[in-house]
Amino acid sequence: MSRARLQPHVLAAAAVLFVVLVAHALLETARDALFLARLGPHLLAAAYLVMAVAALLAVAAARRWGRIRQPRRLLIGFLLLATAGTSVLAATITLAPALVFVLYVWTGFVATLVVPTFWTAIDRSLRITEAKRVFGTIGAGGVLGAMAGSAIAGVLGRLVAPHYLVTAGALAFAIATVTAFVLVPRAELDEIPVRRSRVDALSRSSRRYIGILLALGVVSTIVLTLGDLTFKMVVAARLPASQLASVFGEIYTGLNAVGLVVQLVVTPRLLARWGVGGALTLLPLILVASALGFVATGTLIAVIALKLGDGSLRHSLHRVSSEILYLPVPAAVRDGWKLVADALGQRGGQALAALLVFASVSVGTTARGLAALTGACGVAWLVVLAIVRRAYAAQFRDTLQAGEIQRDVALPALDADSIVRLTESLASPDEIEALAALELLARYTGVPALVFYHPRTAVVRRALALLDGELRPEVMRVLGHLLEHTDPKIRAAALAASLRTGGNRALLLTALDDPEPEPRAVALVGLACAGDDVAERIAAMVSGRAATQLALAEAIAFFPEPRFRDTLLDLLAREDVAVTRQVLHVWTHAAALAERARLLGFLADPRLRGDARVALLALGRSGLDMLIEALDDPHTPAAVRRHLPRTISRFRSATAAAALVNRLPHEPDSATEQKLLRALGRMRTNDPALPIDPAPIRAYLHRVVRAAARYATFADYLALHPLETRSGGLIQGMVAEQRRIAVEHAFRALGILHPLAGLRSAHDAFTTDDEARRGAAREIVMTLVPSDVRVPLLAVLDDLPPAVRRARTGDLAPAPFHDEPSFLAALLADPSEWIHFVVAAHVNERPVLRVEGPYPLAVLHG
Amino acid sequence: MADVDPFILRRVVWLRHIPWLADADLADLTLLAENLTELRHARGALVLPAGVRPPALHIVVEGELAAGAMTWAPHGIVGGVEVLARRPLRAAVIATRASRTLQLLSGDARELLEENIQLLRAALRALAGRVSEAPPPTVPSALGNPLGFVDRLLLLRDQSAYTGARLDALARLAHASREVQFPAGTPIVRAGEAARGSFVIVDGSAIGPQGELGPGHTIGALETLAEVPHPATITSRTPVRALETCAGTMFDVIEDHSDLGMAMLASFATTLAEGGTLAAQA
Repeated sequence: MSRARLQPHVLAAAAVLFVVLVAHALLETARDALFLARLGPHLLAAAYLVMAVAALLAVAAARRWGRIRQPRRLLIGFLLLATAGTSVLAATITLAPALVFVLYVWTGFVATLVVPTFWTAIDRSLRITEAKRVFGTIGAGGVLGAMAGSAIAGVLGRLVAPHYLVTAGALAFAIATVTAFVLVPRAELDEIPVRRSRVDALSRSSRRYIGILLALGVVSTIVLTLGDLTFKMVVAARLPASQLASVFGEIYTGLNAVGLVVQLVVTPRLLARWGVGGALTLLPLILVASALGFVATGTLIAVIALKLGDGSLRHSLHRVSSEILYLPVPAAVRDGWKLVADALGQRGGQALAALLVFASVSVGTTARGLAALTGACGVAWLVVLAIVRRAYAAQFRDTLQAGEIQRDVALPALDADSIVRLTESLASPDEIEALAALELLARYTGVPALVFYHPRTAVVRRALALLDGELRPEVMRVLGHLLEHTDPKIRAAALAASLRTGGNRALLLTALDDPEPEPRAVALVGLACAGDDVAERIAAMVSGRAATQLALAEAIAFFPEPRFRDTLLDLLAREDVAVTRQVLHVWTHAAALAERARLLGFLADPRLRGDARVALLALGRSGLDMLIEALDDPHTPAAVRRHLPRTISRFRSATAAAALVNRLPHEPDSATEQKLLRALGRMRTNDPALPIDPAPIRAYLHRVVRAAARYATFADYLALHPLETRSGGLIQGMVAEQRRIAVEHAFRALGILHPLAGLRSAHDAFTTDDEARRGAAREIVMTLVPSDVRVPLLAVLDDLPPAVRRARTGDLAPAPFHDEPSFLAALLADPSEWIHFVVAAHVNERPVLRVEGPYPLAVLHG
Repeated sequence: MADVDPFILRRVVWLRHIPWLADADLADLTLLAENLTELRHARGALVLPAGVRPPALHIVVEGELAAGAMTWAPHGIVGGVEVLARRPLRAAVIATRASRTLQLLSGDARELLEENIQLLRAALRALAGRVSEAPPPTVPSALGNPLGFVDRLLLLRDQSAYTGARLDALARLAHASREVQFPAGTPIVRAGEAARGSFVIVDGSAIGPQGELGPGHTIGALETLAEVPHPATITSRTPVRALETCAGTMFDVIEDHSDLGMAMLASFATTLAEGGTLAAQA
């Protein structure tokens, strides 16, 4: 939503919060005045504890209602309750001193319910990007309300008895109720859609996330309470009692004013620049520094700095940022659990702080001791905050991924039940079902020996293929009974099995006359292994038809001995795809026979690539070394080089990853560069713990972000100055594409650095028009990416006026173009050779153009 | 309708019955299986409405679906062509009996194909094998002699099979392609020969079983993608100048640029949809 359209909503929300806080401030003032006058400060601690219990009961009740009521209706309901309850107390407060205690607890009870519910209702109407811009303004409404309420209470306090302030509070709550009814938005924005199958998992992860926020709430409240008590203790000890009221009054007035300025001016800027995580760090840092400063020096100024930080940031930047932390949670979970977390965090933190103070005071702790405790708890706050920052980004990631297809799926593990079912499927008369079951069983438990008795030839053949020449003893026993099978491949395998178990020569000689090449080939290979001179007959098979060659290669697979090395090379020379694949299978299982130099070349052929990769993998470390050497060799043909990254990635080792990482910044071929990124991304996704050197990746990241900025600047120029030739249209298209590619590469690089962060999902979200998804993606980037990359990257992704984009990309963008020739010269300086070609064609179509700069003549002729 | 069967292994086994998935790797089938949702349809229930782009395709597990005169038995795929072509269904799809189907949302189908080269190639093989003839595109004017890089790029961009493909992919194809000449009366491709790539006619004309083929016509692309031999001999009637792209280059570029493969799929699917072929798509 544009700022202009958003403003009425923001002002309306601010007005509601203003009135609510006016009512709360009136009631708070009445409460404090009546409590101190009629009951005394010694009951304050008890009041805090009872307030905490009451708040928990209130939240439990709200949980029951929270699921079945919209936040807006819940807010109005709570305000009605606040009005009614306060009215009753206003009418009866003078009847008994105990009712003052009730008023104290009631005030906390109402505050626990109303203000968090207000924010929950507002959360439903704003996107995350809008919230970061406007929550400060809305919160300022609350600060102003508190100031106005305090001022009104001050004036009324001089005119009427304190109990009339309770009546004023009830009236204010009534006005707040009407205001909320009129102004709190009814419309709720659509959330990021979540797949039905992922709803439960997302709910679970969201509740875990809220648990982390609860911990943050508790720790931060403890620190703020301890800090506040430290301040009061020091000031009370160092100033005369007669001056305390006026000093506190002046301090609070000043802090409210500073808080208002922070809310309106500082908060949105800090949120935009540092993100939520960074913004939340400011307050605990100030508190820790000032508390430890007081511990070290004991000076009043340190304690005043502590209070200044608390007073100016707690109800402004800190409050707003804490609210934003809940935005990644789906509404269904947020509505039910936010109230719990807020209440427990605040009241629970206060109760724990009170207990800590009791314990400290009982052992005679001084103000400095309390400050040291504040500092120590502040450090814990920072630690929890670090966890929260990661969890915040992870929550957006989970939400995005819950709406996507399942990507990273693995074959499910087989339990005993599954194996039984698959074995039953193996016996199915449905051949396809049997084949599928066989493949699954072979992958997990090996080829079952009894499958060779299957009535379907296709199934037995497939089982043989899955064996890949490896004959286990139980398989050999079964195969040995199939020497007379009608299928020649099965006969051949049976013959090979019988040879392995000491079959006799007569079988081999009989098989030499088999009408089919498969048994003949096994017979020849068997005789060769026995020492017979059958070289001529083997050579004849090599020179024969493709089916004969294939049969020979399959036979050698059963007996992969060094004597057949040259035969395998001869078979390769026939250049038949099926035969070559079979030779590669032999090399996979008998790496000693592999002709390593030939293996690399097969990567260029898409029909052989998969088998070549498997064979290279079988070579182990020597294979990997050979691949790395080829990758670094500038003379490696492009058709091979492009397939090296994925092949290297199959080794899944730190050495393989290191080779790819080291290559990435230097790779001149864009296609290979893309494959390097994909290979590394896959390795890190499969094993996030795989160690890599991040420095080259970061250097690469800077380079592609610079490229993205460059193409975005080119695109901005073309949008204002379109090139009116047929090649000009191509230039525009290519610039747009290069920009898209650069952004994609940037996200791939980020995904390599942060494999669990969901950068893939974030990139996909940025390519859509869905504001909710884009907002979530933006928060992931804001949290994870350092500002020197983040700012220009977001400038490229956002739809910005050219001047604004140029300002944000800074010196990453090329200098402004004065005319078309200077623009074309900049294009010619770009690394993309495609762009060079089309620019040259464009210049040829516009003979009047004179373009300066590096301009290879070869490019002119396309 | 409800999602009732979580047994992925059984689904993986079952998916092998679909012909174009018969040789698919188990890992690819698992990926597909995880993204399917099983639905039940009562007899007479509307499965997919007519006149709108289908929100999903359905694979029939049990029962029967029908749209007009067309019916789909188990293993049939309903709506697949329309999903890929992004076109509305001509007739509503109804369950003629109580049926079970596996549903794949249209966005998911495209995304799975874009991200999985093996599934994409299998789909290309299947659809290319069903398309008998691609419609001729508009040939750009003023092509150079010889063809420069930009000429080739423009020529490829105007092929209907590449509509929607990104320039980067087309640039790679253009760069790796070469200009070839056939004297009159020369076979450009022969019947029964393995398909090793495609030819786009730039100048001249050729004769095939479907009649005369002129500038802009593509020869051999469908067979190359379907991985089948050429069904007929096509001979140059006049001297022919053509742009040749070899199979290895096509597949390499598709592997790196799934948008190219998706553009081809969409083109083939559109051809099938326009031919009114709502036939069972298994």
